[in-house]
Amino acid sequence: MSEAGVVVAGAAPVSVERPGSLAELAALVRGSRETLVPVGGGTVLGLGYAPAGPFRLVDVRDALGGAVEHQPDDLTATVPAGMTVDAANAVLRARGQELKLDPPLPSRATVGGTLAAAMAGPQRGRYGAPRDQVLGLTFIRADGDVVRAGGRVVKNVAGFDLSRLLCGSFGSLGIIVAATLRTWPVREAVDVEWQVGDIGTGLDLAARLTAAGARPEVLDIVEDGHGTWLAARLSPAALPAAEQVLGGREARPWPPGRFEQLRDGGFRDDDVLSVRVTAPWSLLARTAEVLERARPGLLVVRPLAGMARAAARRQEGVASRELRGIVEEVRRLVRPAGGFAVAERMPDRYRADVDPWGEPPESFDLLRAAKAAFDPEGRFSRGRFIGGI
Amino acid sequence: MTTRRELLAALRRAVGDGAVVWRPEDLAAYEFDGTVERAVPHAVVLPSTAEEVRAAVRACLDLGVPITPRGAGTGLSGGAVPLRRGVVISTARMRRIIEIDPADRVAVVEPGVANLELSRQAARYGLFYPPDPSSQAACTIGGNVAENAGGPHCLALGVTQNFVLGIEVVTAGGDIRWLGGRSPDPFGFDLRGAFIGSEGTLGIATKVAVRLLPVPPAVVTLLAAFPEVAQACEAVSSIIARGIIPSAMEMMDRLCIEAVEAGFRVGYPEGAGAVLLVELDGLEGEVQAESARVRAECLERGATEVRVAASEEERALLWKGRKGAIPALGRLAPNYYIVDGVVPRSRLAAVMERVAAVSARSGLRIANVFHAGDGNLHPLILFDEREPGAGERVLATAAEVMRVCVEEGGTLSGEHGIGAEKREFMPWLFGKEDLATMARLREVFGADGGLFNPCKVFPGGTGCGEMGSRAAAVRAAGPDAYV
Repeated sequence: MSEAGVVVAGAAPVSVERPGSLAELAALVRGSRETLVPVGGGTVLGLGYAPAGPFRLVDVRDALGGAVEHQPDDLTATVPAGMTVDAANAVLRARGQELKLDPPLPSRATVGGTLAAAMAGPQRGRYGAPRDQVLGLTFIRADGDVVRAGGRVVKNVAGFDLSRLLCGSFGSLGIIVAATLRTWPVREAVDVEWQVGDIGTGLDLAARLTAAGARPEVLDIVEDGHGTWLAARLSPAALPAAEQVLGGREARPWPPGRFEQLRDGGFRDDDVLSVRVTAPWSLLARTAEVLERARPGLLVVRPLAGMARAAARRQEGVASRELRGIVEEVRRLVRPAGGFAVAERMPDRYRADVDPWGEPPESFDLLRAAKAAFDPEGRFSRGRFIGGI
Repeated sequence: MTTRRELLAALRRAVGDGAVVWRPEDLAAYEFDGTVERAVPHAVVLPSTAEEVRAAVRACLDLGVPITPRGAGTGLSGGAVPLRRGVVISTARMRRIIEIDPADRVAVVEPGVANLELSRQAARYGLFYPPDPSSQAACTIGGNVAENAGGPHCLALGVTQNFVLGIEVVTAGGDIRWLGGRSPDPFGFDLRGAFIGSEGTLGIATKVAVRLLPVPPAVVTLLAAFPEVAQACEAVSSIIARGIIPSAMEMMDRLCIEAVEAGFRVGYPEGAGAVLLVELDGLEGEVQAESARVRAECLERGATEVRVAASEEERALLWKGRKGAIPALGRLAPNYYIVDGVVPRSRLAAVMERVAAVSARSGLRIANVFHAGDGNLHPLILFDEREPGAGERVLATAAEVMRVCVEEGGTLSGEHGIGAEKREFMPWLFGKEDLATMARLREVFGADGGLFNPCKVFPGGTGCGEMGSRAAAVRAAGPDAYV
């Protein structure tokens, strides 16, 4: 994040704070009268609503630094929230392990930001959401106290699981200080893909591949102007079975940059639009059909994660009114199944037409109650999240 | 003060005459769970729908009567015991599998559906529900949600938390709400995740949407015998370090092995100090390659013998000793107390030594079966409840074992829950402010009135009586017991 001219969903902060220690950050929280918007690498600052009223942007990276505490024999690591995902993984990979966190732009995205914004990547289908990697965390409460939830062991049912509440809370319930995460041995894998003609066929083949017993590390259907491909990262021993299921289709290795495309699409420097949809498997084909109308240069469907994302660069995409119609249609389609659509990235001038989150869920009173219980004065990221929480 | 007559009248209005249990001889079936906590409720209701659950909850809230939710009553931490009496709401009549959708690989069930029944029904579509608590033939999906239940096969695939997509709940405040849905991610705060494992203190699940997985085409089970527990623990670590995550890794110590061998003659090598069961599943090619590597790792770490089973019958034979361990221990002592603790995997061997020292000091024998892959111990303290003071000694010994787990960087429960049994130990793990922050979740669900499953999870509380603090999880050894 560069400090000059930084905006949050189109709104400028009254100041940018950069506390140098946890104590300074906690003091800032305790003493602040304005809304505070915590930020790490700033990769998803454009997502969501602008904060309600004047706010201070708090870059937490200096305050929440430190070293990775890796317990390789336990397959766990405690990582400071301000560290980037790449930096944490560099430490772990030197010892043959890694985090299964793969948010967009991991060289900038911090571990804390990835958890708070629930930004998942290509390995989401196999390993679960970021919250599924968390064994415990410490966070700063709205009154500035630092508290702990969960633990450091891989199985734990002692007490309520508040880490679940913090993960995906979009910085509106507390500031994550550090997290103990699962680590995974780096495994041998082959990256292959098959041309599938269209997304529906790709979904069908993905269903057959997994029904046959394959548990791919990555299984995405990608359409990027060079055809529609089913891209898989498999254990070498799974490859023959996969080829049998794909019946005569010729496999090719991933082209250079495929993983990064699947991971970063929608958040690359020249992406101007990105819409992400969460829905059950059976709605993904129709979801993709609607998203196609947004004229995306890149469409990624991740069936095991129930996700579809359309991304458009300059010269691609549609005007704001059209985007609004598309997003609303997708929402009508997926909402009865508990799905939702997020306009993750768009030009600021689109904001008047396109609601980035959409209507809050039916249980919105409980979300509001959660905000009231954990941040009664609305100190953290007020107005940013669903329903303007 | 509400009279019993007023309470029964209100409950009958809420759920109908046929769904209220009130005769003392009928209530006796609801005074306990898998522990020896005992408390008789004033009444039990057996609602059939979410609306009836809501009506029952509201009736109790209006009258200020405590509510204790109950599934199958197989819990091992006293969670379903109505320590402040009041009303038990049982999900026994909510047993419908509403749908199994093979395209989405999702099932929607009522809370009273038994865990194993779901997998049985899903098998028609080549799917299964992975969490498999050892009481899975009886325990319910609703109870699994409350306890965030695990099981031997949770190592590779995860626990209840990783498989629940959405929950329809009647909140402790008396409202019906969906948390999550049929989609993989929740829209907004993950209240679904926060509700799972809340041990019936925040509300009652009335529908649960879960993720199903395709049944793996190949399964191989290996049994390795080691002279010492420490070597078996090293084997566990080195298998995982090689990038192999088996679906299960189960261990038994010498006392267990001797008991099992005396009971069933499964043919464990004489003098073995530890037996390790490893199960691998997946594609045929993957499983074959991995089982060869697991076998090599075990031999390298000092295994005296490794048996490999691929057919259903051979696998059943290897599991027989593990599944029969607790009944077999019943031959050594009439009673046992199951401890559920977790330690970092790398501390397993050291913790075993400390548990042995606790056993020696207490004069009570402790046998160990455990989910070794994730460091989840189940020390079994053997005793005879007819001996004077036995109960107190057992509880003191169990507390020492829990203390060891916490000191070694672990936790108080891996899968049985805190319940009434361990709530006084919570301050070993969490500071006052940590616990107070956790407790704020009650406000979200309208549970701050303290009527919903009182005397559970958190230390202290009024009116919990002697039973709440006595917290005994002492069970008579039964023939089908298995953790």
